[in-house]
Amino acid sequence: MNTNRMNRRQLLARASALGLVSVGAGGLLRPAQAQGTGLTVMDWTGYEVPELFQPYIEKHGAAPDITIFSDLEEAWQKIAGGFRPDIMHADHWQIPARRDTGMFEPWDTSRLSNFADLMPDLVNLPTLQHEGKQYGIPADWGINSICYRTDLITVEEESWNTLWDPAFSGKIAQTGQMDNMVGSAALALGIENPFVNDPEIMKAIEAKMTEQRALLRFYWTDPTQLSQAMATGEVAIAFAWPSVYKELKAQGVPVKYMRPKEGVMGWAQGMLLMKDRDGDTQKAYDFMDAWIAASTGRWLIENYGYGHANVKAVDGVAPEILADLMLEDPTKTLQSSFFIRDMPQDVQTVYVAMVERIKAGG
Amino acid sequence: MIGLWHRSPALRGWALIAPTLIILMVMLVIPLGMLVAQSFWTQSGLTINRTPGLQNYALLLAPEGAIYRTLLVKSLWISFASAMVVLLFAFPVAYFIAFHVKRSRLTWILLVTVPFWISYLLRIFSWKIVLGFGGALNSGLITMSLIDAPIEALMYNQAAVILTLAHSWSAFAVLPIYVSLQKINPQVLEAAFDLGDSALQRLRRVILPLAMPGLLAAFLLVFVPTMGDYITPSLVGGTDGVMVGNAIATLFGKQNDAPLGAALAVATMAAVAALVGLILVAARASGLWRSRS
Amino acid sequence: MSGRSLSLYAVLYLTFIYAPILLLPVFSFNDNIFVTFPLKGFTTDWYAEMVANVPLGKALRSSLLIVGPVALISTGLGLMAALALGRSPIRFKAAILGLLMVPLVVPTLVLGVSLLTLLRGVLGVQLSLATVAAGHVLLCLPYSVVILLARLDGFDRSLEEASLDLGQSAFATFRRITLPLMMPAIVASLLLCSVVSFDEFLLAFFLSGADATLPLYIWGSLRFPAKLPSTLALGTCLLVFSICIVVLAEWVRRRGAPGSTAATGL
Repeated sequence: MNTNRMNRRQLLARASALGLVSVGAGGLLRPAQAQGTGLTVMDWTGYEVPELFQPYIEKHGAAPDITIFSDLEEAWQKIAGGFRPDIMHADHWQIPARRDTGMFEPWDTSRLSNFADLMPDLVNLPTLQHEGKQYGIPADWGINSICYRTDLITVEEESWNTLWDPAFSGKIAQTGQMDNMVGSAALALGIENPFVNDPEIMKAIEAKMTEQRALLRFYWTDPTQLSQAMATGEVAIAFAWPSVYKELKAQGVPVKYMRPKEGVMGWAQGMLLMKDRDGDTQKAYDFMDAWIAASTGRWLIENYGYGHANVKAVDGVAPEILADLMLEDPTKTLQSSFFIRDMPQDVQTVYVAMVERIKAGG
Repeated sequence: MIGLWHRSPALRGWALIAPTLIILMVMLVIPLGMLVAQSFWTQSGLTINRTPGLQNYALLLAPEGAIYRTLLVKSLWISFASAMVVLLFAFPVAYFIAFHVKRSRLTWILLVTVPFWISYLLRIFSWKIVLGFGGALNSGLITMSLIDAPIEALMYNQAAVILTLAHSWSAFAVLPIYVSLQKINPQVLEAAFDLGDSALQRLRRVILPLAMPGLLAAFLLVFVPTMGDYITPSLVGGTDGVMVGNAIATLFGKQNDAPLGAALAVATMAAVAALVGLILVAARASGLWRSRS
Repeated sequence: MSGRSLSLYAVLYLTFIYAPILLLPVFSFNDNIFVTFPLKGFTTDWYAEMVANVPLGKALRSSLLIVGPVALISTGLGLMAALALGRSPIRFKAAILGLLMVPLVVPTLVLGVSLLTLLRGVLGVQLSLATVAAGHVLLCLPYSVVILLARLDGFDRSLEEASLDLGQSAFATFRRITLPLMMPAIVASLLLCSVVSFDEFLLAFFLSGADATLPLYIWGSLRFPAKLPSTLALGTCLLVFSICIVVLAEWVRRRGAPGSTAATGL
């Protein structure tokens, strides 16, 4: 009797245990599915829209699988953990270190019909091109500058030093990104290239960034935070993406995007091709070719306010849009702006640690 | 053998817990082992040197590691304060639902959970709307002519972090406390009342000891996860909002020093375990908690 | 503590947790991409934008798909574990409990990377919503076990013993005595596990393939200030939907027999 009773209880326990484990394991180990598009791309949120690769969709009938990220560092971590996209989008200055891991292979540029239309200044960047091989295909690029509320503050001279002006203390916001933080400090100090292994330059940059911290309302983490703060007047002057300026202006907020005497800051991103990939190679090239098409570029300029590597992308874009983005003469803007041409790994390590230390208040 | 299985409650216990243990072993012990191993390595650039050593822990204790120690202490404080605020806010509500709501308890339980079904980032954002520069509080005070200019001090400080965390985690305190209070037989309370105990005496002698498992559970469920939350602090804490979680994340990512990040993670986990242990011992010593297990 | 002052407090508490949330609907109808007072004008544009936002809809669907299974599996496993820890004379209880709490302490980023390594590198599993769900179960287990144990801890066992002494089978005892007694905690665990899974995004980032979950998508769209109002519109829809569930629950209760709450143990 007793045995029987225990038996049933224990049977129940075992059955439910088995059931749950199999439900769990079944979910876990279900074979690959829904990966049938033959191409996996890893990109920032916002780049998953079909307008950025329309010719690919026309040819293959469907969009590739796009895994989104919001933080490039986390994306590298995901790759380090074993995730394998076929194509990856990244800041150009981060590419050499990843290239050196041997994880990516150079593109065969002859397979890209639009490659000849790309701006040579971008194509030839040492971060994208190495030993004559094109590891990164330049895709989008742009400028960054200072945005300020013309009704709240008066700027005597448009300069990067306005971000250090004690008169604006508590009303300044700076980006939290290392490359741009160091870049603004270098521009304010008149240092042409801070990304070299020179202890004196590094010390000067560190002092400048530390000095700025006390004047800041915050280091912004995302453009939404910044545009909200500038719209309310909580922040009167800030390092800002052009998109922030564009939206503030569109909503009738009195703002100006500076053309500092030291020049604006430039940025660029490139596309990488994974060496060890599961996806279809032809599809990878079709995707890349669609991305660098002039039609894609025009959409990117008009809708996101970014520049595009294709020289023909500006054709047909309204002049006032181009003027806001300083893209009237893309090549001239590119050549005259502060641009990271290369960042050695050891220099990067020092600056990242420095920036984190300053942000944390040490 | 079979007979032993049938007669042994311990064996049945193991059978019940086996699936959970297997999941923990596979999904947790292995990653945890990797983390600990990593904390003894070193990294330069993207290359990892696997010769084990204590250099990372030494650095955390050295003068150069002061920033990490400061962040750790600050994070422990913010999480502890948030957990305490949450418990204080939540207890009376849980008590109310357990003893004063007669029929619509499920509705009440759902009511206290609903604000948390709209995604965490939106919740944080709603606090920015309340506390922000052009936010509800500032606009309201200006409209009532109580202030002339917006108060900037509402946002981007530790108090904003604690308030936002306390709001975000309140359901995680109300439910466990309610669950343990609700098993108290109301007759016990009445008996205490009949004996002439004051409200405070009843709380101290009857309710708190019986609610203790729930209070401790609530504390654990709020304190421990908030220690690892670095999104809230970075969104509402401003330049003061950096917590130890941020430091660990950047060490693993941008700073390319996963081994030091691992060491800091291990140190953080040890600190949390120590503090939790201390609180459990204190609860036992106070006589308010007599766990059977 | 008098009933009246407690009721008053409960209402104040609800105001505290609802007040900030209820500002979202206000701004979801405000004709301004900046979420700030004073309000500008009424618009339903953001709702149209929300509906037109295909990735947002897909992300919401992904999140809703995993919430249910995650809550059920975590609570099921948690109930078994809690019964073992609270009712069986097994050894190493403190150690097991400690281990159960570990997912809450390990930085999620670290947990994400190592789980990814385990799934991809060792087991060779393809990333999908199922892997996200598996990660969320791990994260939910501590919540589930702790709540269920809090209910079990100090519970009077005499009812269960009486039932067994009366010749009821162990299963019948579990179903008729233990389960109803545990029901409030089971409901609490289901609710909290849902919240955890619906909110979590770091683990979801590492363990997801092409299907992004809702928080993952919202987090990424912060890069686009113009997308904020449509996100607020989505938050409003979720809020309205949740309130509908509460109203429905109350309606069902009122329609049912007076004893229906007793039946669920709540």
